[in-house]
Amino acid sequence: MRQRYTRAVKSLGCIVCLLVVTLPVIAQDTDIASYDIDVALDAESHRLSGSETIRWRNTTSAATSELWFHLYLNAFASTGSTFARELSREPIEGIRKLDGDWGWTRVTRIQLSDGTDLLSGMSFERPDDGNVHDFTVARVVLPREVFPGESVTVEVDFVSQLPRVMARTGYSGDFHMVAQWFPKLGVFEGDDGWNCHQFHLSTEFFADFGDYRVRMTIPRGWVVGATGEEVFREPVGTGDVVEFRARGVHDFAWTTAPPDLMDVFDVEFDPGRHVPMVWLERASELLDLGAADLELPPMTIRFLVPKTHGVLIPRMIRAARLSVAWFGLYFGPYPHARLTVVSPPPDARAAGGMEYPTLFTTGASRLDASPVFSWRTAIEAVTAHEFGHQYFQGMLASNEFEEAWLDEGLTSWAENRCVSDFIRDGLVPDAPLARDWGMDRVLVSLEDHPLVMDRPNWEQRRILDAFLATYIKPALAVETLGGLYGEDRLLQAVRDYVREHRYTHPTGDDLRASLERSLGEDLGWFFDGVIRSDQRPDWAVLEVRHHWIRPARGMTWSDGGWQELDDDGKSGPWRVEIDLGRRTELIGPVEVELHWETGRTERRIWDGRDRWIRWTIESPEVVIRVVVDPDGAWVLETRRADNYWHDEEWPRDPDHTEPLWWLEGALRLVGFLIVPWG
Amino acid sequence: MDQWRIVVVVFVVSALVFVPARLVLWTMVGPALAGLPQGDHPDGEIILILIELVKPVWLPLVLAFISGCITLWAWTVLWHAGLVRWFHYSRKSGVRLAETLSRGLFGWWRWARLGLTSVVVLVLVQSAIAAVYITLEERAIGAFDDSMLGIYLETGILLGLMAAGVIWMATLRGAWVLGDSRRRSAIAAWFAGLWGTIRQPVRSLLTLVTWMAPALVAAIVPTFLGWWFESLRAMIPGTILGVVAGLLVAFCQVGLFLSFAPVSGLTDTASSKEP
Repeated sequence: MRQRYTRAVKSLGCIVCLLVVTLPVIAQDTDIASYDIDVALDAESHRLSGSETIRWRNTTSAATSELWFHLYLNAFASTGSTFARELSREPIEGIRKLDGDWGWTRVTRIQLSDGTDLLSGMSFERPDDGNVHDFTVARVVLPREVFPGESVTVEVDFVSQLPRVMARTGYSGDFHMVAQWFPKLGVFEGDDGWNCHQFHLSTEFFADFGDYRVRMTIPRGWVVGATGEEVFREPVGTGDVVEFRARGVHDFAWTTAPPDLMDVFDVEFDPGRHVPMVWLERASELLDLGAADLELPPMTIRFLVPKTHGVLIPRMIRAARLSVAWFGLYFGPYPHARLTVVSPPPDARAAGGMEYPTLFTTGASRLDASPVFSWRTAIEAVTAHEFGHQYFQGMLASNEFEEAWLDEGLTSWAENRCVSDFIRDGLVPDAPLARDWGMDRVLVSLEDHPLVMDRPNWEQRRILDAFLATYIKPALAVETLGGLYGEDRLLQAVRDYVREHRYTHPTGDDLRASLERSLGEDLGWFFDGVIRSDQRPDWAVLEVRHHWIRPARGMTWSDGGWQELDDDGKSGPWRVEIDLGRRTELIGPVEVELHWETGRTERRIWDGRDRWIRWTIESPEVVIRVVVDPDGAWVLETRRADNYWHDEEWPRDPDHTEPLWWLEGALRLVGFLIVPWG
Repeated sequence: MDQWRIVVVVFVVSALVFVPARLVLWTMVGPALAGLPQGDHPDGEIILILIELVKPVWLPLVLAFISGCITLWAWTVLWHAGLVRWFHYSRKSGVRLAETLSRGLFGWWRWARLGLTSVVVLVLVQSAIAAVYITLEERAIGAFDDSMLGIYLETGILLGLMAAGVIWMATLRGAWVLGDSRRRSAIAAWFAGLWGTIRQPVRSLLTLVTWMAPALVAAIVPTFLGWWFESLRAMIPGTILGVVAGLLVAFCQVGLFLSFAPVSGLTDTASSKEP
């Protein structure tokens, strides 16, 4: 009795704390699909037995008499699933890894709260490819329609078998990453019906916001990390019952492992100590906000780290704190009181690098501690990326099936800027190499095939294209806006986008409207040309010619009669003709820099509307160099050789020999290394 | 120092073998880079331009590069063979370049087999080291204990470097052993060289370091000098710097090879019958 009383008081205290911390931040309507789940993990068989009560509210203007569910783990049920088929087409470790070790979710009971059975009417749907071997989407028919504003409550019993860890879920040994594990509603979109896609190789998720209460039974003493806040834990039978609650989230993932495998510890994020002053000043200047507007709340970060990765813990903590600070400064405070960071153990790396609400997994390796690899910023980059998803996916829950570029692109863009600041400001002492956009530009330049961002990833040609079109190209596209309109205006615009659309399902059109409002620009050319098409920018200096304007000779009409032109023997000015071209259909403004012989430089804007343009300039001096997009504002442009024109009669700058000098050095070294084997 | 001629020729050939690759690079890339203004460039600009220009000619460039490497290897075999045979059969008459090289030409295949032996051994040893590392890594990861992974990796790299050094020294010694007219087997000669290296590890190592440390410095430092002082990259100073560095590297390579020559000859081969 006393124990029950203590538990109740503790639970109440935690819930009150949770509400106090999150209520002011999560003010929007986030209670659409809420889940109350009881689940027990059998650690021997890696099987979950659970029951859930789902309360779904119809917030659209249309009625529905169906409910559609995701049963994601069925993607690992056979070699015939859509996920497995897509995987088998890629040159990566395939479904063989699963053979005989399948993962699945089976619904054993589904009924309304009044006891009406729905299981008998349950069917499987394949909205994407019609694959009859795919069982990742289920549909049940309700006895009556749910009208706008009404709610329906269903009770579901299910059994889920975790696969051996792959695609960011499953088990390895005693480590369990329990993700996409429960029957979960799709998103009802009114007249468009249910948005509930099958599980694909390179897509992620889409769900409505709701409140979660999840009570799990796990082996006694095992460490646990999960979405939301732990409200109580107590021993029951041979295991422990742990309850987590989360408000305003659209998914729930958890992980558990024995204490001899993983350490669990909490660290504080204290804005007074963990926000670098230089960042505060820079953000204040770029966003034109005072320190009070940039104030961040304190919070707690829970880490689950393999025992053998102790040496990496300081880096993990630093990366997490810096990420919380950077994203908080530029896009507003992280809205929850707790964040959980899971670093999967060595044999479960496939669980790494994934975001869930208030929880994400990283992918550190013990090799990151070796001098051979310690200079890399993999830990920092993955941490910044996955934390970035707490904004662009966690709060702005865009449809990752249909517009994966929206959250991955914005997150990759922000990650790059965040990690650049880590390094630029000396906050990662071990990392000597500055982070810039060079590698991303090179990756895109190596792909000759059209990269279309605005299409579902399962319709991409292959997984590499999906990666480039979802992560890299959109990140470069967003950075291009910064190059064209200014870093400060872009950051302010994205901050506005976050504020306007948090706790909603923003689309690409919403992003466009928000950016147009904030920037005060028509971005139709950008969204049509860059986002919605496969065009790539490609400008060129086509030709530069100089004509000496000889003084006119002959006769001219003057003073009421024909007069002979007076040739005073003075040389006239130059007529400089500069032909600029646009090699693709992509239209956009671009800056052009002219270098004159006296050392003067000037910049002009070409609106890029015509396929080519000729600038004719009369000048007493000649132009010796023309550079299109001298600052690289169009980071998305990767064919740059013809952006430069130089008059061969003028000496070259010594800089141009540097790359060839390095190549010469490399050849010399190769020669040195071959001789020993003769 | 009668060997200066061979030093010069080693340098000249080493420089010439990559001329085709250099020509492709200079003609394709040079003019485009000339338009770059001084100062900071956009992120990744240089590498993008290199990729854009080299991509259409990657096959000829790769072929030029590979053929350069093979030619350099074949040439190294030639002068190694020539020097050994000169040492055994003509050294009393001093170095005559043409004679040395023609002697090398006649014995080329024997010394080529020695070189190939060393390459095969190198690949086998490095593969074995890699296989051991991968096995240990997989076991460690499977056992959820990757605490030793860093040490495995660092040890593997160190062992790999040491193995390369030992194999190199064994090859140099083996080349001299192969000069003995009674030796016909390049493989046996290589193992004799390995045995000599193992018997005299300190002397072998000291000889290698004494010659190769300055050679490595000469191979690398000019690149950094030209990076720090851009005026050194201009045509004349750049060429002079390249020639001086190349000569120094060639001198050290020839010096290293001759350092492993038997002090008094393997046998009194000056008068023995040439194989």
